[in-house]
Amino acid sequence: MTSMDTGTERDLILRCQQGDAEAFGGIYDLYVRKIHDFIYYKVHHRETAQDLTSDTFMKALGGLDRFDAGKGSISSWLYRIARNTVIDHYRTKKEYAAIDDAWDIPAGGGVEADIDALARIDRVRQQLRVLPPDQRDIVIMRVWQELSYREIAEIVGKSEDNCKMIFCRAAKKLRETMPLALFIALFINHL
Amino acid sequence: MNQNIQEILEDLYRIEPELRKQEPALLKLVETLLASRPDAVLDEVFRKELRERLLREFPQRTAVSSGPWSRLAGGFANRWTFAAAGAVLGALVIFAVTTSAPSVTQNVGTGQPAGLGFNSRIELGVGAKIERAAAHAFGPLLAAGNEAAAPVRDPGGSGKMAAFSTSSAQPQYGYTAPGADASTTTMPAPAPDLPPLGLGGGGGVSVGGVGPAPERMPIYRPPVSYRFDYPGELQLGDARQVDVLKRSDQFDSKLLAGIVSRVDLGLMDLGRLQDLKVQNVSLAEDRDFGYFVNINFDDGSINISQNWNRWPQPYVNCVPGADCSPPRLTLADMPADDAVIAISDAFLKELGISTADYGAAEVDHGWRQYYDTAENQADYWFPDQITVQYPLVVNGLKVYNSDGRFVGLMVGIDVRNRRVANVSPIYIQNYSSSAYDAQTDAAKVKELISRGGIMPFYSEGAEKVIDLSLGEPEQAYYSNWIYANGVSENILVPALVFPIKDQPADQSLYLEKVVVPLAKELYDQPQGGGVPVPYLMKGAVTGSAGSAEAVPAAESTPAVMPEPPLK
Repeated sequence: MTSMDTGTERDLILRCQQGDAEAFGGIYDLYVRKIHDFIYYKVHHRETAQDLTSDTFMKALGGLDRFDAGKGSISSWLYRIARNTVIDHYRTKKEYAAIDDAWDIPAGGGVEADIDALARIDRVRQQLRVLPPDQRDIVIMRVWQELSYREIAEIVGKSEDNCKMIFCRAAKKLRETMPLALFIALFINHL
Repeated sequence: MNQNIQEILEDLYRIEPELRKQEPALLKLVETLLASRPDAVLDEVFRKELRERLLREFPQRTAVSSGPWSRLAGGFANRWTFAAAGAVLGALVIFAVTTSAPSVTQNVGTGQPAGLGFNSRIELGVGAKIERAAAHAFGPLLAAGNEAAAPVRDPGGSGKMAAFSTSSAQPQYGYTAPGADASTTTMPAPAPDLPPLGLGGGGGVSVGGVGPAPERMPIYRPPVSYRFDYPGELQLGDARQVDVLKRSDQFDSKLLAGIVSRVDLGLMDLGRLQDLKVQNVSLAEDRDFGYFVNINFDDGSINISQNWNRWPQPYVNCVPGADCSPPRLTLADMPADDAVIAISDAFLKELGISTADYGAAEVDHGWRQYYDTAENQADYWFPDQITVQYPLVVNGLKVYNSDGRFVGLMVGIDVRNRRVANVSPIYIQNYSSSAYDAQTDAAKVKELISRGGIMPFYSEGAEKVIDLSLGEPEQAYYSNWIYANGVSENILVPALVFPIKDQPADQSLYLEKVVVPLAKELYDQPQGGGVPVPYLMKGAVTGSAGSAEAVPAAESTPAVMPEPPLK
C-alpha cells in the first residue's frame, strides 16, 4: 500500500507501540477520512458514519497492542475493523439483523439516511443492491475509494487476482441489470 | 482522464470489449455523471473531537491490556492506572450517591462522602419521577436543528433546554385524565391539502439473511404501497391539551469532576482547572469476557459492551488471504427463548440493574422471520447475537418509536459464548411534563392513520396499493428526539398505537405498528425541520411509475391522544 510503504507510517506505528499517544494521532490523521468515507458509503448517514468511525478507531486503539505489522498493513486492519463495525451495527438492530449495510435496506426502509446521499445513489441503488456484500464492498473500494487491488486484497483477505475476478464478476452482474448509460456513468465516476 | 479511470475502463473493456470503440462517447457521458458517490464530508469538528478523545483515552485503552503494549508503556501506564483506579472508585461512590439520593450532594462536594452509604446502589429505572413544567416548556416538538427551536431554549446559552418554569399555569389534561377539561377546541386551520394516497410502507427487494452466495440474485419484489384503515370510531375525547414528557439528565457531572480533580495523577494539577464537569466515565473489566461500561453524564445513560480485548477475536491477527472466520452458526446453535431470557435476567440481576420500569422480556425473532422466508435456508446466515428486549413503561404506558417498535432496554446475547454481549441504553427515568395543545380533529388523525402514522413513507414506482386494517389502539407514548443548539432531547408525546392486522408475509412493510401522536403541533408545522417529509411519486396512485418524479408531500399529518394520568 502506498502509505504503508512510507517511513512516516512505519515510524508512527513504532512510536505508537512504544507509548506515544501523539503517534496514534498521526495514524488517525492518515486514515480517518478514508475510514469515515468508507463507512459513510455503507451507511449513507452522517451521524451514523461518525458514530461508527468513532467505534472503529476506539477498537483500533484498544487492540493496538495486538496489531502485528508483520502480518498486514494498518490500513487494511482499520478497514477490516470498520467493515465489522458496520456489520455489527446492523446486526444489533432488530429490524436489520440479517444485513451487512444500508444497501440492503429498501428505499424508505426506515433507516436514517441523508437526503442528499439518497439522491445521489438513487439511480444505482437497485443495481448495487443485487450484489452480495463482499462484491459490493470491492466495487465501492475500487470505484469510489480508488483503492488498488493490492489494498483491497489486504482488506478483504483475498488475493489480488481473486479481487480482480470478483470485480469483473460484479461488473458483469451490474451490466446485466443496469441500463448502459448508468453502467458507464457509475464506472466513470472519477473525472 | 486520470489513471484510475483508465484502469477502471480497462476493467470494463475486459468485460465488454465493444465498449472500447465508444470511448469518446463514454467521456462525454462524464457530464451526465450521476454523482452516485455520496458526498462523504468529514465534519471537521467531529474529526478534531474524536482525535482529542482518542488521545485522551490512549492510556486507558492500552493500560488494560496484558500484551506487549503494557510492557512498553512501563511505569507510566501503571502509575496512571493506579491513579485512575482511585478516581474511578471515588466516581462510582459518588455516582451511586448522586443518582439515588441527590439531596445529599452538597456533602459530597465538601469531600465527605463517608456516611452517605457505601452500599448505595444505582437504581436506574426504579420509580420514574415526573415533575411539572409550564405549558410548552420544551419548545417545538419537531426533531430538527431548526432555528425555530432556539428562542425557546435556554437563553443563558448553556445549550440546555429551558428547565422547569415556575409558572402556575395549570395545564388541562387529555380526555382520559380524571378531572380533565371537557371543553372542545375548534380547529381554526383548515385541513391541509393532503397528498394523494399511495403512501405507506413500501418494500422492495427482500433483505433476507442470506449469506455470501456470490452468484445468487436476490428476489426482486415490485414495490408496493400501503393504505391503512382503522374501521372503528376514534375516541379522541375533547381535552384541549396533552402532557408531553421530556427526559431529564440527572447525573451530577460537576460534583464528580470535583472529586476527580483532587486525584493526584502525578502529571498535572487537575485542581487548577476551572468549571470542570465530567462528560464520560469509561470503565473496563480486565478479565476474560469482561465488559466496558460507559457512563454518559451528558445524557444520563449507561451502556455496557464487550471488552473485546478480553473476548475471543478471530480476526484480530488474521493473515491476509487466510480464512479466519469462525464456523457459521446453524439453526441448532440458536438458543431457545427461555434460555436467552434466563441469561439476560441473571446478568441484569448480577449487576443490580433494575427492570422495575420495564415490561416482560421479549426475544427478538427478527432473524427467524428472515430465516422462515429465506429462499435457501441451507445458506442462511445466523446472527451471532440475539436481542432480549424489555419494553420501557412510563406512566403505565409503553413507549414506541415512529416505526411502531417499542423503546426499551436491549440486551444482546452472544450466541457462541452464551453470554450477555451488551446492554443499552440504561437511562435514568426522570421526566418533566409540559402541556401542549391536543389534536382533536378526527379527520386529520384518520388521514395520518391512512398513511401509516407519524412515519409515513413512500415506495418509488409503486403500482400496487394494499389496504391493511388496523386493530384497536393502545394508549402509549411516541418517543421523539428534538435537536437544537447542539443538544438532543428525548420527548415523549402521548399517542395512539394501532396494531396492523395481517402483516404482509414478505416483510416489505417495515412498520410494526402505526403510531399516531396526539400533539396538535406535530400536525400543524410545515415540512422540514424534522417532520417526516413523505415524497410522493407523481402518478403513484394511478400507477404510472414510469413518469415518477419525486415531489414533497403537502403537509405532514399526525394525531391526538389521550393524556395519561401522572403519577
